[in-house]
Parts: sequence; structure tokens; C-alpha cells
Amino acid sequence: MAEVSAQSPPFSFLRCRLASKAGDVALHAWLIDEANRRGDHGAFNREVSTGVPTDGITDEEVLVALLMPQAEADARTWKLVVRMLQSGRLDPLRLASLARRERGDVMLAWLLARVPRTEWGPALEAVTQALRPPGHLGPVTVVWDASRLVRRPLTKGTSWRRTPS
Amino acid sequence: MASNAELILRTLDHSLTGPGRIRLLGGAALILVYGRERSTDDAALVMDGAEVQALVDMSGFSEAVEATNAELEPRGLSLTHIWARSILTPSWRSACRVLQLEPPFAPLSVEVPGPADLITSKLARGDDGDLDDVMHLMRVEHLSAEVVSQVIDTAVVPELLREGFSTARSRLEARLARSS
Repeated sequence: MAEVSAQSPPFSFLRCRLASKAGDVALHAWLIDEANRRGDHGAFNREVSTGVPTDGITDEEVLVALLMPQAEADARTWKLVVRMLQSGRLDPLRLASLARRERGDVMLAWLLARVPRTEWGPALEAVTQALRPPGHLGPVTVVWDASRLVRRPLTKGTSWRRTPS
Repeated sequence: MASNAELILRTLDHSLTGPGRIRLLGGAALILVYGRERSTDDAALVMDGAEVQALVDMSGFSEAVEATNAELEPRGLSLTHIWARSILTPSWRSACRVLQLEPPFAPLSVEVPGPADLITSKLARGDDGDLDDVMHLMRVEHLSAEVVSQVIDTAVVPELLREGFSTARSRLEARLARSS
């Protein structure tokens, strides 16, 4: 993420702590699993992780770890991040403070600015209000279609399943 | 009354379990050592990986940073970023100055980069506030535009910051031209 947001990544004790929780699993994959264990389904690994959330890790930490400069620039996770924000479980002030400390605020502000209006609600409004505009650090250079965030009812036409012939 | 920058450092000082030296960067350094009269709600550091690891091993730095931020979060203050590198001159380590406050810190000791390195580090972003800080440093340290230009020429710029640095330098030069 450092490259797409033109940021030099700072040292992060949070990332070290999360990596030690992840153990042998790559941190990026572990974070996706951890979000899914908390009920936020917006991206998946090859094998869907079940089980209980890891002790001692907050929702805000999982989200910020997906957006900080050291994180992988993986567009799948942005939908997951938005679903986490929409859940209303996160403390906006704590999230904003942590995002700022870990430099996840640049990507968070960028992402919030792209969420289609139909997907907005009180939870996103609260985070936006809590988040101070990050200092200008150069443009985020990502081409990404945010319309995939819009939830649509499943129909025959949108289902990926083949109808038995 | 202690400034926010001093409060952050004193909280860290109380949270450390052993001696340790840190190096402040940014607004906190300007306020505490160079007499800049403005507020800040965070303190950033510049320390390489070995320095951070030594502090972690000897003084419980990781837990101390966490405790400091937890204690100060209600006030909106924090110890924010620990940069392994910034835009600095090749001789930045030898130009650092020691921060001395009353009562002295214990077990913490604090140093800050010299004025030339604070100026170059400000060009990582170079917004209006950063350029105000540069102008302040030039004033109190009696640095001419020519000297600053020479210093900037020698700065080592990390690849990721090159584009932003170039823009910031142009903005600073325009500002200096207006004020001359």
C-alpha cells in the first residue's frame, strides 16, 4: 500500500503484534480470516476460516492493518473494509486515532470518498466525521471500480451458479 | 503549563522500564528545541530498526508506547510514527541536538535533528504548515535561502518520497522568492 499511496511505511508495533498472532500464516491472509471470524464477509481466502475471533485484537486493529502502508494493495480487501465499517461495531474515534497513528488514514479517507451514496449510513458518517483529513501525501494511484460495493439482490442473471441443464 | 509535546514525552518517560534514547522528528522537535510557538497533538520519531529493537529489549519500549497512547488517547494526543528514514542530509546523525527540560527526563533521553535536517524532513510533505516551520527554522537559526538550497541539494530522498519532495521543494522555492 506504501507505493499506491506514496507513503514511506513507519515502524509498527501493531503489525509486529498481529504477525505474532498470525504465526505461520501470511499476515494479509490471516487478517482476512480474522475479519471473517468476526462476521465481516467481503473477501475470502481459498479456505474459509471458521472459529472464534482471536483474543486481544480489536476490530479497529484488524481494519487499520488492512489499510496501513505495510499492507498488501489488494482491492478485494477494500470491500471487506467497507463491510466492517458498515457493521457499526467499530468505535469511530478509536478507529480514527489508530488509523492516524498507523498511517492507515490516507487509504481510509481515500476509500470513504469512493463509497457510493447508496451504501452510506450512520456508521460511515460517524467514521468520516471522526477522521481528520490526512495531510497531503501525494495522490493515491489506484484504478478501482467502487460500484462493486453496491449490494444487489441475487437474481438468476447475477448468480454465478449454472442452472442444471 | 507543559506543552502537548512535553506531556507525550513525560508519559513515555514514566512508562519505560529502563534507559533509552529516542530521536524526535517534526513539530514536537520544533516546539521543544527551536522555540516554535504552535500546537501539536503528536510526536513522531526517527530511529532505525536496531535502535528500536534495543529499546524494546532493554526498556519495554513496545509496551511503553502502547501505554502512552492508551493514557493520552482521551486527550487526543499520541506518540505516532517511528520512521526508519526520512529526507535527511548524509551527516544528520552527528548534527543532532540533545533536548534538555526541567525537570530532566529519567530514564528517557531525547535528541532532535539539527535545523538543516528538520528542514529537509519537512519536504516529505511540504504543506503550508510545513513551510511555515521551515521559515521559522531559517529565522531562528539565521539560515539564508542560499544555504537552505545547498542543504536541500545534499538531502538523501527515499524513492517513495521523490515525487512529493520535488513538489514540496518547488513550493518552498516559490515561498522564498515571494518573501525575499
